[in-house]
Amino acid sequence: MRSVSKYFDGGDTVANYKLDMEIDDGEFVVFLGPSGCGKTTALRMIAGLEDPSDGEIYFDDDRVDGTPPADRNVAMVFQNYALYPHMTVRENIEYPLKVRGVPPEERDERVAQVAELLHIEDQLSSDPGEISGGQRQRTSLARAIVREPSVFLLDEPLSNLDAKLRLEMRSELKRIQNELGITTVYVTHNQEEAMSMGDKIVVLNDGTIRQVAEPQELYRRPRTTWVAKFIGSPPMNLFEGANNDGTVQLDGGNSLPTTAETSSPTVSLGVRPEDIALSTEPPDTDWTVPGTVKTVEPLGEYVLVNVEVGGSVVNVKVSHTDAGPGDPVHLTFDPEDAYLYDENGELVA
Amino acid sequence: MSVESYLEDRLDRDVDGEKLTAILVFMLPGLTLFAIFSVGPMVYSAVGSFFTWNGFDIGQFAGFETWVATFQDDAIINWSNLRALEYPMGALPQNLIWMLVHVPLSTLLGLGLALLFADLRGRSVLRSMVFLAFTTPTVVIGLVLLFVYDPQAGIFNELLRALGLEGQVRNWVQEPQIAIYALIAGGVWVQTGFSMLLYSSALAGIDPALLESARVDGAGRFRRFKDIIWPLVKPVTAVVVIMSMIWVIRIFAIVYAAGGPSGGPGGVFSVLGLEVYQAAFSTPIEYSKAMVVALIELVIALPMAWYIASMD
Amino acid sequence: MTDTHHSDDSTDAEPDTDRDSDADTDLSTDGGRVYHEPPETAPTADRSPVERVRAAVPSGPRALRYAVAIGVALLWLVPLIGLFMASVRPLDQVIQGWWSFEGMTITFENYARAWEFQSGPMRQAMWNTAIVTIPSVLAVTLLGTMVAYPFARFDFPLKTALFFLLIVVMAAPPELVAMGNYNTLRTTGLFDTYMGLILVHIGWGMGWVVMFLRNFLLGLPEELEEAARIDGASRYQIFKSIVLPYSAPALVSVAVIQFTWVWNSFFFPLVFMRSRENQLAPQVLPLMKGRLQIDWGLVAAGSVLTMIVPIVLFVTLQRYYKQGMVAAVAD
Repeated sequence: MRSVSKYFDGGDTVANYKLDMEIDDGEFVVFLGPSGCGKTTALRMIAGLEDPSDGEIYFDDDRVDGTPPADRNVAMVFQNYALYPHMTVRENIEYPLKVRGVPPEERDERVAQVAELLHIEDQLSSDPGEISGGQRQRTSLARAIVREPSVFLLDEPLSNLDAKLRLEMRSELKRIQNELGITTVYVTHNQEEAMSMGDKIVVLNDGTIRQVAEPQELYRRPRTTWVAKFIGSPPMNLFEGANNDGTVQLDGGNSLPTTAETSSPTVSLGVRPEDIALSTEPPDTDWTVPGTVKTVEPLGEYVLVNVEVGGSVVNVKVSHTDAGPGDPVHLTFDPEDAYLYDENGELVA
Repeated sequence: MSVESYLEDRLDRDVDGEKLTAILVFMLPGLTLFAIFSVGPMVYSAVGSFFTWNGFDIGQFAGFETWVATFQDDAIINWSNLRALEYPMGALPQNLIWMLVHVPLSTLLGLGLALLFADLRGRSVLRSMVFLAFTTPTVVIGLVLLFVYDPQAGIFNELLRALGLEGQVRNWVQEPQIAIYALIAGGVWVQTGFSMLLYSSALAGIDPALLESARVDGAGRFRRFKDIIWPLVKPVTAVVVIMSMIWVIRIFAIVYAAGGPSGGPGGVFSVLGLEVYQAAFSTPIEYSKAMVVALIELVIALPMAWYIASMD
Repeated sequence: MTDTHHSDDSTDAEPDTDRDSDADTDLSTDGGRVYHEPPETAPTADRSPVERVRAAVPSGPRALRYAVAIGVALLWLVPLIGLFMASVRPLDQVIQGWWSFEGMTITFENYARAWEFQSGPMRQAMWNTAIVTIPSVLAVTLLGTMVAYPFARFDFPLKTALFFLLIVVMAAPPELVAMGNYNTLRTTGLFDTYMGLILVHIGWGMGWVVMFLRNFLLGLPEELEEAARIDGASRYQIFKSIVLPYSAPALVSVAVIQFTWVWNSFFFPLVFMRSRENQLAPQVLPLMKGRLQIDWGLVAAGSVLTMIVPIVLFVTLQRYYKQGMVAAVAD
């Protein structure tokens, strides 16, 4: 698959819906968004389970919208695995081959191959009801892989697994995708999954693409305040302020110099919690904001401090602090780590 | 047979008196009525079938006399007509033929309609329209069939006229060799709603992801039905088939309304239930024959009910 | 589905369609990766109301399915529609065919005659049916729950035997108990009385009602009862305050289904109700046929009067009816 370009309009039944993007061959693309954002709908339209009421979908140069799913050479893994309960693991895996009329000897061979790849050789004759969640997950992956599809679609495949298994399957999935080099579209609402697995992440909300970027870039340079608030845990802090031609007058009182050019009268300044330093003495820089500590949560790896600044709460991640609730503090950050968004929430600098 | 007194005896020996008293208090009223009006009369019939009867009074022990006589009774099995495959064949073969034609037809139609309505908007209304006949009193169904097949006022004959088959117009329930099929068609009409309802709920229970997965796997409409839907609704098919069989073996009011207590001219569509009624409650009173015929019905239905009960 | 409106819409979607058609050239680039600017609004607003309606109306094979489905459902109603038509038209018009609407006149004459029908006025018969049906349904529902609760919850001697008996009774034809009950009612003087028929219906219905409610109550979480016991509730209080409310939907199902069965039942009244003033509605209907020419209007009116009660009940409580029906046989 060289490129996919889609542009959908889900009509008035699903939501107003519009996507427009491309996916490269062999790429692992993650659709990330809150539930109901339309990411599954997008996946189902690629699969052919739903028709775009408008727009086109291309696999390479072939237009596929209107083509039944069977003829698209896509494989899909469903959130609940959708294993056929009345078939054994082996029958489940070989079903797509059987439907396509692959002769039995070849079927056996290929089932054996994927079973080995996914470490489920010993479960082949079991019923789906008898095996563990992780094995079910592997079975449904095997069923998708066995066909050697040109596009691999995964709909929240890890959401029904427990935390430990999820981590394990995450790297497993990534390994298999690397090994097979199949173009993969992965839908999830879990940003950790998206960050760790995706070559490229597509952030969706309300049926619209909010940003397409590599994981690091998405994290470092969220293009809108919406994305900024969606990515990261805790998410990026946003300081509201007024734009005074070269300086930003924060609601907290401080005035910061800025090089960004925008005509927007109100702006917000985004800083990641880990990019903020905390000090009790006023520091020797303009890039600082005073506040009052509300709570201190030592989380082992780091300490999360909630600081009240001008009526809103700012999250700060530090390795150590002596400040306690009620103490006045100063928040300091590097201008490099601050992003300026205009009144529409678009990134300016 | 008094289940309660036996229960009481056994229960007293147990330790947790309070609990057993509670159980007894809860169950006694219901089980008493159950024993007097259901279990008792059944045992009465089972025992009575081996005795001679004077009207409604029990007489001498007679062994299998009535049983043997019943199987030689033309009203129950008309052996010579049965060999010639000519109606009337007797209530037992007729009842079985009814079953043989009715059950597959109503089951398949029910499945077909369930599939047809499965994902349509307004399916609930469509289903109710088909199911309505099943909630109608069966005696009304019998009368409706008479009406439908009436040579003048019946819409079935009007349909034949409209199709240019004037020569075929007749009173279908009065045709000895055809009448039973005309009634079976009515039975199918009624019961399709029932099997459709069961299949609909079975279909609704199938995870849509399974069908979508099969679609993505490349299965066409027919394969999806054969490989996914059918295996998954199979247990329901067993229930539908058995419930329909029990329904047919008990059929009474439809036939009574359409052909009177004798079951049509010469009993051409008489069924076992009618024969019981005839034997027990019209002169000459033949209580033992009535009991035997009713027991034959039970013998046919019991293994099926047992199968359903042990299915879980 | 490739609908015809599909192509219409893509022309509305300017200018985005342009961009799609030469996707390889007109692109923004960001960090070496290629992507389009996300459009701000969805194009739905561009579609005219007519097009929206057209998009909502099923097309092609699906429209055909609707047509077939509606056709079949109507076909299934034809005999009942005919019955209703016959009940409101004079006999000569019915004989000409209820489906011909030429010179159609509506009359309630048939209902009036059925109401006062000589060998069993519906006025009386409907009343009798209600008097028999309502108490027997209420009693069997309550007594059935009382049997089903311990049956589902506790172990006691002869439990298996009871299970077996219930199944036998569920399988048995009503004719099997007719002779015994006939003699019982005769000797107790309950023959041809409301009470006699009510008792027979209770005893007969107990089989499936207990089985049904037992299966339902197997799903009653034991913790509920345990919590109540810790709170100091007696077994009777538990039954009243936990078991009955928990079973409410199942009880409605049982009551609705049992009501239609008892109301519609023909055989038991035929055997146990003999005198003209005690006859139940279903029993009267075959009498309306008459000897020579069947008086369709009369039969139809009587039938409609008889069936209207269970049908209204079904239509208003069909959720419970259907659920119960499915559960009764699927368990």
